[in-house]
Amino acid sequence: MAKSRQIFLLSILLMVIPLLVGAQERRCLLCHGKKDFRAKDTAGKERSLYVDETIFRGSAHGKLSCVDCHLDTMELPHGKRLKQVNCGDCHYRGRTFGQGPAIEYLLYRDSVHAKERQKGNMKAPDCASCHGTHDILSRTDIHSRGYKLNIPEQMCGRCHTKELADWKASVHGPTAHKGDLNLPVCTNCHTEHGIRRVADPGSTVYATNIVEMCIKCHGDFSIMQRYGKNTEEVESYYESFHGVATKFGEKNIAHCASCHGYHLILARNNPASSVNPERLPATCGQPKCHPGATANFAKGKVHVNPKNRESGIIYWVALGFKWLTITVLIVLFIHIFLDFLRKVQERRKRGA
Amino acid sequence: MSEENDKKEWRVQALKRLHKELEEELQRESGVMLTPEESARVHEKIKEEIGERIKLRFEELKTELYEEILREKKKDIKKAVAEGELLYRFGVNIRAQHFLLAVSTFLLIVSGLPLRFHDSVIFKFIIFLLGGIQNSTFLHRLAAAGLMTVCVWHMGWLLVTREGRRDFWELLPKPKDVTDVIQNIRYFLRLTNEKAKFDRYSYIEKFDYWAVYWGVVVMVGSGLLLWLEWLSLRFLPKWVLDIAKEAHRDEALLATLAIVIWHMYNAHLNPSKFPGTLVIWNGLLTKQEMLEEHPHEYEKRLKAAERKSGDR
Repeated sequence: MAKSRQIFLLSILLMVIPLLVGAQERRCLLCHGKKDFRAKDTAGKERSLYVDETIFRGSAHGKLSCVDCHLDTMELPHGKRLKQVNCGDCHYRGRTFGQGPAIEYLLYRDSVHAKERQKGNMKAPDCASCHGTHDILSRTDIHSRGYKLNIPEQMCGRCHTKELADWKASVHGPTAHKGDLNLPVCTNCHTEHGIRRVADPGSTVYATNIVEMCIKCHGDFSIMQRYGKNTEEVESYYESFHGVATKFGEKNIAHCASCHGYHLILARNNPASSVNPERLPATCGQPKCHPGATANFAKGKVHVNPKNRESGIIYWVALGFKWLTITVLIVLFIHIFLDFLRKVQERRKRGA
Repeated sequence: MSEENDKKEWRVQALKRLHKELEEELQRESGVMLTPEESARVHEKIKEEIGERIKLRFEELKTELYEEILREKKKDIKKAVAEGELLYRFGVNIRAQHFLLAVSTFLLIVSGLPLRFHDSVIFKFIIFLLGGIQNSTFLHRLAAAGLMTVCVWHMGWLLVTREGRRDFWELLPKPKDVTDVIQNIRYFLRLTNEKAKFDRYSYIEKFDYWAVYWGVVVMVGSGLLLWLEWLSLRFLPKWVLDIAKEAHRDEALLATLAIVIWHMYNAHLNPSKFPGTLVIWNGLLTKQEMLEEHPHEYEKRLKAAERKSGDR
């Protein structure tokens, strides 16, 4: 009997807790639930302090209460201004609850955005600048800012407007991909939280790293196949002097982006493309590379693969040398082998 | 270790002897007996002064000895050459050419092959040792300049010197080479016990020599096109340079393998030559080697010498 009573009391308590929490929420919303609740911020600008409860409840953090994040709320109504929420209070590496360990905070700490903020440039984004505040949704939600197709416009492109426009017009843009989820967005090349400067050797788009970034897709035949392409460009690049030098850590050498561009990558048959045969001499003739490049630079395939029959005369030269080498070596080896055998025999005879 | 100790012991004994002699002389001259302390002091002085002089004298003797050995050796060689026991095969000029060719080729291979086998750990390490691709490409061009120097030098030598003209004639492929090949293969297969009797240059050496012509024409030709790409691309389309590049990397492998396998075997790993002869350094062959490898030339030389003495 006593046991069932205990269970009954416990279940009552469990039912009451959410009500209590809700009660606390309602107390916050007494003020923050009013649409015209405003105050001046430190800069003297008027800001809305309204929180839409339905949006918040539908967000990824909808099960939390206000004070779970606004930790410095000691009394209600709180008199002084609350501190900015520190996402790292929950999203830290050793976290055992919720989604588990989170290293995003650490990655962000070393990123160019965090470093700029440390220097005092408050235009650089923190968590909320990209993810929002009370309306954060899971990245799998199609309405989320972090949903792959929304990232360029709703996150990065809000500041990096030129890059956004370039990307949208490029072969990697949504127009070219028609809603295909395989297109690369900002974060595919620049990573998400640990974004670094291009000149930073730790950056994924640093001169010696960028090729590995591009070949994640362009070196994957199963992906390229879908667009009627193959991975020959990657193989031929790595066999070229440009590719070999990059592999050996030389950074003043042509990599993918040196010729194809960065955000505004266009198809070769587009007259505005930097790799259009008409414009190729100018691209190769950049002052750092081959100044004074003539139209001869465009005469012949650029990503030429000697193993491919389509390469024409180069294929035949490679094949000719291959068989010449094999024949010569076979003949030489036979001669050496016979000579060796006979000399050993002679020696043995003389020894005996 | 014991040898070292013996030397030390000998030096100590020599010093002691010297000390004793000097002391006795001093005593004879002055008629005064030295106390043990004075004797010890004299000993110290001798050790300091004479020791230094002995050292110097030692060095002098050493160099004198070396020089004498060298002189003796040279005399021996001269004597052997006069007696016909040693024969000159290569002059200084051609040996110097070979040296420069060998060094350039070695450097070209070391700095060039890593570009072809860029995935191999060994070649990555070589590039690392050379201090990056900027250094390795510079070294490659430097060695290429060395190779081109040898080419010009050799062509001049062939044209200008008598030795060169004669050697060029000797190096030209002749019908005898074909019969030599057949003879040698028959010998290898034990169909006959008669080895081919080579002239001054065997078909093996001729192959080595003419392979260099082919290699140099392909490598220097394509290499120059790629080296001076700013100039060559003004007159030639890119696909010509693509061919040059393909030829350069393929011929590089062929040449390297030919050198490593053919030249290495015939000049070094061959049981009758292992681990290599000194002919390319001092230009000398023994009569034995000459009879073994170039009997035809030996006969010719003998006849020429007889004719010369007959003329006198």
